[in-house]
Amino acid sequence: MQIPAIEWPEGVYADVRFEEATTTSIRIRDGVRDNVTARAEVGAFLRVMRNGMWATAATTDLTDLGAQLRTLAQAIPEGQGIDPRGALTPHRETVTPFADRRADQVPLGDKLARLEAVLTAMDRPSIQTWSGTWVDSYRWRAFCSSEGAEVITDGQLVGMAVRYSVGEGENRFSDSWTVGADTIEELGGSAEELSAALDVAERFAAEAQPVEAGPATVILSPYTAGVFAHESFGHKSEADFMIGDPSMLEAWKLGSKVGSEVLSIVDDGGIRGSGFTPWDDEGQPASQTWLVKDGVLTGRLHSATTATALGEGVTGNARAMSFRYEPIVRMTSTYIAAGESTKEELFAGVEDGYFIESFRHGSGMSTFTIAPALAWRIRDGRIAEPVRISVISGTVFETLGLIDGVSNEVELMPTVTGGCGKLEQYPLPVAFGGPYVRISRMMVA
Amino acid sequence: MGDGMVREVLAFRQKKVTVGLADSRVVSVRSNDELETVVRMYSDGLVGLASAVGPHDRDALERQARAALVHGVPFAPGPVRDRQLTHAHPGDTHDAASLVRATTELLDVLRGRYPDFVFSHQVTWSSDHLSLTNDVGLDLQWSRATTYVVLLVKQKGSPNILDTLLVVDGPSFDGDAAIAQADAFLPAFRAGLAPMPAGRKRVVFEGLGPLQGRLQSDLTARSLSTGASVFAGREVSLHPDFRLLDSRDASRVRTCPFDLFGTVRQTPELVLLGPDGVQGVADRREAEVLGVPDTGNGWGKVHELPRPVVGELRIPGTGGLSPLLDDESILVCLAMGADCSDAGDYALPVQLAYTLDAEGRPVQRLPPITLTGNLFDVFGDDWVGATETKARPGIQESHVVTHMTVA
Repeated sequence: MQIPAIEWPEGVYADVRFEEATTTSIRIRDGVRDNVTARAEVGAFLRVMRNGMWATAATTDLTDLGAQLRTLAQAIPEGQGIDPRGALTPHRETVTPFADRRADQVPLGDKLARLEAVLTAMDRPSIQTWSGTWVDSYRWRAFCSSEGAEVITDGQLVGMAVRYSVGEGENRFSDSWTVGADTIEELGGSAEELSAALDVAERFAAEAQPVEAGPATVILSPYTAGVFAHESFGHKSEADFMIGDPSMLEAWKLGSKVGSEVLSIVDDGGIRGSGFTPWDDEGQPASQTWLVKDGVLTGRLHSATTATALGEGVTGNARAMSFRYEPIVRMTSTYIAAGESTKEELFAGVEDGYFIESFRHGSGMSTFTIAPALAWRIRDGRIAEPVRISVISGTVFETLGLIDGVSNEVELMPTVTGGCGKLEQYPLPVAFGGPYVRISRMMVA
Repeated sequence: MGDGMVREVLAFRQKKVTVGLADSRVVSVRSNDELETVVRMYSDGLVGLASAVGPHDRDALERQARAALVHGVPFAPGPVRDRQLTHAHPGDTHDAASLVRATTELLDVLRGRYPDFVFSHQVTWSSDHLSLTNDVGLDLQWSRATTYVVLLVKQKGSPNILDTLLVVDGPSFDGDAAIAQADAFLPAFRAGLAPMPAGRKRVVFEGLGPLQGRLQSDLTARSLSTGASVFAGREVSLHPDFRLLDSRDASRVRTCPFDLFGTVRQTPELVLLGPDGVQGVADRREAEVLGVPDTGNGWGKVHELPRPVVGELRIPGTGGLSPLLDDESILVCLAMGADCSDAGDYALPVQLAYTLDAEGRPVQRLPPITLTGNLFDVFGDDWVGATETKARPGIQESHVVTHMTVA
């Protein structure tokens, strides 16, 4: 789209974030086409600020934005807030790596055919019910400010997700299979791969037994380690929760020991994938932020406002789910960094424990919880029988200190049909991952 | 239309004013005003759909919806015909200045009474209007104005992102209800930690809270008919006093009396679980496919075709909380990450719970705990009861009491 000319109001800071987004959503349930839709929307988010106090608006009317900004300026609440202008460097950049590979240029019928080809794997009697989904979204954004910023960027996410329930009665098992990429050309996934996942699910449904609740050694897969890092520590690294509580600066002092020496956690908006955010929604560049390095707190995630409040640098983590919302501090691609052990060495160190291969959901505050999907007993250093675990949980800081092994290869996973939720903004695409991570003691129930 | 097609138009207009809070003060105000328009074309047992946000060319949308019929999405029952209804849930009207003023007054009180806590997040006024019309006599209109106070509360010095929530939801800005909630809970939060409980306890929830996830997913007609539901293929024996309702009483829960396919709900409450067994929800399309009643539960994103979704779950009760308590009852306030296995086994990590006095008032908070139980026991042999009185001022939920075990 063409960026409209803006007559900026005087006496206030102002910025406008334009957005043009297209999405495709296809859903097939139990073999029947349930929803096939393509959607396009254009809008803008307007902000004006005086004395650190903001008035903002989301609009689909892109005419005479200057007048809209002037009207908005009259609605700025009285008071004194945090003035972030010193942290809002007015960059001028264009980074649109997906402009010539837009998913919305591919006919809907082609996407439908590709999904249905994969779903031929669902024709097996053990499956009780299933749904298959294709999603793609392309989002073009332009951030312009009264200080002269003009940052144009785009992002894209393409994926397929299949949810299924196999088995009967108490031997029922529900799981999902997902593939994601940022272009259609790079999207993997085949009926054979889905079929292999279904084989595992059938075995799990038939053989998995409940576990006895109690503490145990646990190894997390890269995907599960990623959600652990995201939930247990990532959200606590978002600096907006520290605003208004000076004691937090002492409790979360950079340089404090927060985990075992093998633990390092990184957030990096520059990595391609569902967390790719080369420029954030305040026009600031992505950075690789080491939240934890060798068990020591080394950084946190910022918007311009939180960076100003805490006297730290911006990190490119001010993100908004769409033009309807203001940018707030969010993660991008967050992962546990690789260690030095091999995966085999990690498992060899477990005489009796559990391997959490996949999960249904995770959440966390001072305690965190992961609800596993596929989980296995580890006996004498080897993966043994499948087990049914409702949740694994722990106190965040105790658990971070109980990590005693990290493998040497990182895998990053995209979010395809879901994403990260914070306050009213859900789902925001993020990525998470890590290596295999061993924790000497977690509560298993 | 002359070609045998039926055109249906769904329009959803939402205006919102949102006051943003940080550090117990107003820091921003946001205005949203959005119109989303969806055109559905029905023809020969199929449906095609197109949507637009904001200003749009209606003819172009109709052409897109007509073209979308090529994707072959079946819709055997066709559109709802000859039904008219207009229903409104009126409420306050706010602009930015009035909502900022009301919020500022609330925060002044909370800061004064609770200087050791930080209040953040937002207060939102929302005006919604939903219109669903078609060429064959459907004309449904619904509107609602609501003010939501959602305050994240964090004790200064706490390592948590948030410690508790104050939530008020109603037709008017009700600052008094938010203050009453703070007065009920924050002194108990300050009172320090109670000893870690152990064993089987009487547990009190505000509404169904974290127990409802599995109920929502497993009480659809499809999950029951395919055997995917935890309730499928088994004799469900619950407590004789227990009933789980999908509440669609428009006067009570301020919900829309029709679903997004245009089915007007005929009964104010649908019994999903009770002495007569299990009932799953369905929408117009699902009802036709599965041969079950259309319960008017077609919901979802406006720009997609609806699918069956369990609505407002409610357990009817009587009286107040006090008669349902024993000396060691626990009130669960904040629980995240609950899961329920296919065998019905719950694991429920609780971030914030309180001990209660004999009147049901919070006394002291507990350390984080994990509760376990089985769905069929929680609503069966372990069931205690539900209240008629509201759990807090300014919310719709009542108390629900059962037994669970501290793991």
